Amino acid sequence: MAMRNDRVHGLLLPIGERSLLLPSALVAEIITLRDVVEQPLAPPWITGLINWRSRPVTVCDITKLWSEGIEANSRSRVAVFYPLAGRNAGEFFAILTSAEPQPRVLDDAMALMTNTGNENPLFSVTLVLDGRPAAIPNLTTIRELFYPAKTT
Amino acid sequence: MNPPGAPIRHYIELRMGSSTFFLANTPLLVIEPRENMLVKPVGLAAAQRVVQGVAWPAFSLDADMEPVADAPWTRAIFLNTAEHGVGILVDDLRLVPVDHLRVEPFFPLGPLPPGGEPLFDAAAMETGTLTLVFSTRGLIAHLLYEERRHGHAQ
Repeated sequence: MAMRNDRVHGLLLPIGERSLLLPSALVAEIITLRDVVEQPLAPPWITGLINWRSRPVTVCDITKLWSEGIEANSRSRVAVFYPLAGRNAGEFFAILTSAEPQPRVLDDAMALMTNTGNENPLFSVTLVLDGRPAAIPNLTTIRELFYPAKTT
Repeated sequence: MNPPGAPIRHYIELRMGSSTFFLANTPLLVIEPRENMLVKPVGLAAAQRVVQGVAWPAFSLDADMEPVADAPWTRAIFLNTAEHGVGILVDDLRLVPVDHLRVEPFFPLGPLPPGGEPLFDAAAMETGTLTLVFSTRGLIAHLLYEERRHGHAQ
């Protein structure tokens, strides 16, 4: 995620008991959760679609891949992501969070000191930040989840 | 995705139970009022239209796109396929000119539904919200899947 001595401006996205740690540059906007339209026949980890800046954007609750999912409430937020590498310019997507994301400035040494065992393929690294479990998402695995070969 | 051909001039706004969707109005479509239909369930198709001796099944779908037997409906919208038509039953519908809507495509995330085609790949954008637009190919694939799944016989 960073070369030695590099400082990375990151975001901590609370998703249930864990937080996702990722570069701020991946996220286009944090918005409140409202007016989600359910998408029939979508997989259970898709919450639905929202109208974001006059674009249809799919909102995902990725915690449903390993738990009951996030209970959406007034603290919930939606992190709208820029399209993943190799995708079309308009293919924004969003991840449901359980609370307001928080900015963090990190360096690689900090992450290495707290690295923990990881068995979830959606994560590249799991670690502990501020006494809470966190994870750096594996964008390759997420891309394979979003865009299985037969649909691309 | 919609079939190639003449440009779309209207979308059909469909009301099914508490759900509303849009479907592009193309030459593939035939709209039939209830009085022209044979209201006789076969499999989970709630009604049929007989065309030259061939039964075209029509399905009432709930909010999860599962066939239901007893939903209210007033019209059937049939989509022609290579072999026979398949239909969807709706409470109400109205034609909306394309220039009254802003339809934006989206790429459906995740695995394909059982029919093998995305059911929705666009949305009509409204202030603060949106309405899903059926993919014509996806809707045909889903109705044919339900026909096969429930063993509807001609």
